[in-house]
Amino acid sequence: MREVTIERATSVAGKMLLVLALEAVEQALRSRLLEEIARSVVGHGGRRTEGEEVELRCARMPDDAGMETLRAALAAALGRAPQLTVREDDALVAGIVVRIGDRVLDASIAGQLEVLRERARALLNEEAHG
Amino acid sequence: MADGPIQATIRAVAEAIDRAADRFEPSVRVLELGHVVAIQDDVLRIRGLREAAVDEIVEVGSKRALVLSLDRREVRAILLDEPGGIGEGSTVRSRGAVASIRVGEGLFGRVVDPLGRALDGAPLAGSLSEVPLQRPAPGIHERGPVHSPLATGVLAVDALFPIGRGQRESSSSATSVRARPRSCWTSCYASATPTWSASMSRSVGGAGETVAVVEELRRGGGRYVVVSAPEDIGPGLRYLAPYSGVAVAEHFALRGEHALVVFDDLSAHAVAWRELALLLRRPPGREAYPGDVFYLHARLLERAAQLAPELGGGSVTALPVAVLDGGRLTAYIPTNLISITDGQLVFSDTLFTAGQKPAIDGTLSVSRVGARAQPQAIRALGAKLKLDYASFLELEAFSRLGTRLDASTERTIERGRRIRRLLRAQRGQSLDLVGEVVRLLLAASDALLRVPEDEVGAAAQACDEAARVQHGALCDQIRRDGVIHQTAREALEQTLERVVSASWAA
Repeated sequence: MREVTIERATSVAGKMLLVLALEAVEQALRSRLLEEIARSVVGHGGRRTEGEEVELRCARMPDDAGMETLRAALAAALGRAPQLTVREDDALVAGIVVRIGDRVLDASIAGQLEVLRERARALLNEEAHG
Repeated sequence: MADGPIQATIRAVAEAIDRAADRFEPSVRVLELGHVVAIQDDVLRIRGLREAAVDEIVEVGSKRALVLSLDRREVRAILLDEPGGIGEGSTVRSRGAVASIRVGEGLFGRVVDPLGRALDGAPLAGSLSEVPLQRPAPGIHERGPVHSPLATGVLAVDALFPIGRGQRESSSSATSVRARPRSCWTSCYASATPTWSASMSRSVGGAGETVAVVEELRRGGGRYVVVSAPEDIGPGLRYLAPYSGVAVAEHFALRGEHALVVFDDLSAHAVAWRELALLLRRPPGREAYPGDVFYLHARLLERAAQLAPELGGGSVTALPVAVLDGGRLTAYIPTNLISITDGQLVFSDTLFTAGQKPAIDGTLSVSRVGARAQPQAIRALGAKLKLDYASFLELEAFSRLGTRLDASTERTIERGRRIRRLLRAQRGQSLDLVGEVVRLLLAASDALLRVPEDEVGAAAQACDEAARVQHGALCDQIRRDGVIHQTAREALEQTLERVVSASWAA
């Protein structure tokens, strides 16, 4: 019951967000993604740069300028031009998910809603434990 | 209008989402992935997952695995589900979550697996909170002394080998009667309508045996949870079962309740851990168990505690069961448990076949802590019973040799035989404090020697009824205060004498 309610309520929130502020949300997520790409790879001492393929999943394909910015950020982080696979995934609702080798950077609305759900669950657990 | 349970849940969830959203800042979620490089005997060798931790649950599609070993190149995890659909190259996802179980009032009366998935065919309902299976035992400042008894309603336990709330008492039996300790504790629970909640973790037996356990527990009301990991499932879940059982018990103890957890049995649990260790290529030690098998059980049983009043004063009492291979009390796992726990009850095959139930061997059993928690009435009367019974057990062995005995020795043996009958529990019968006090007075009286051995049970019952009818106020006072005063003692002794004289004159 609790699980279903959390799931439904957050899904509705996601749809509302999509209708009201899609552009702004996507822009915010994309800029955070670029920061995280740099931090994530540098944070691992460049260990991931060898032969790791990069997969890009997005709810809507970015325009050419957006794609070029992403490609440049990845190239700067990896130290080489990335081997990029790109595909569309409606389940993300909005935003982008990048997989660099074993590491996944999720800047999608679906991912944000999942974080929100996990926090709500944690809060309910805390309350139950007093 | 007051909220119903559905409205209350919706309201609680809405408030939680509202609060979660208050602190929410959009951020990039970083996830670690790995991939299976080999799978053998349910052990996954995983590359990637550089930030995995031991006891973490990782997901391979919809299947779950428990991380048990980390090294520079790979992670090893044991599958907790059927391996179907998993092969080399399967993606493994880390959620950063350790093994946990959802627990709450809604779990009462249910049979679940060690990860809290219902096994009895109906979904789990009610408010449940997630608790980790592994957590540190309460520290010294979080504990209080063991001070109140776990009234089992079984005279042999409450008088001779008392168990206090928060104590750890192991029970061992030979393989042929290995169900006996478990059966003793389930029938205690079933008969006593207890003031404690029971959690039983089972890493042994088949589903049929679990059904029998549940049937028995159900008679004692609904405040029990069975965590079942029968012999025919993989070692991963069997390894987790006792930790789930104690996590459930801790949940209620932290709410100020008194919880009892029965581990049935830790010998089978050690075997599951040995299987896992061998699969993980860890060096085997004595009897092929890995070197940390003592630590495995010590860290589990340390979680039994009487919590300090500031933490609500709840308790977890742990009753681990062990099987004696070849009847040897000196076998590896039973001796480990004896050294970890605060006492042990040894169940005897011979006594059981002679009809003595519970078949507790008085010469090998001991409780090191419980006497402090006994009510004064039982402690005052039980001391003599212990001495009389111990002398009897010593002398009985001599009497079997056909040696000629003096009158005093014969008297001790005759009394001892009757005491043994008195200690025999009737199925479905649970004695309250008054019932136990009456039987202890009878055991100490000369009247007992006038009752034929076969009729001791009937005599005890007759004395019990007479005491309640003739001394209702005294019985209430004993039940309320747990104390027996000299005047009450004399009055009850006179009643016993009258009852025995009336029916068993010579």
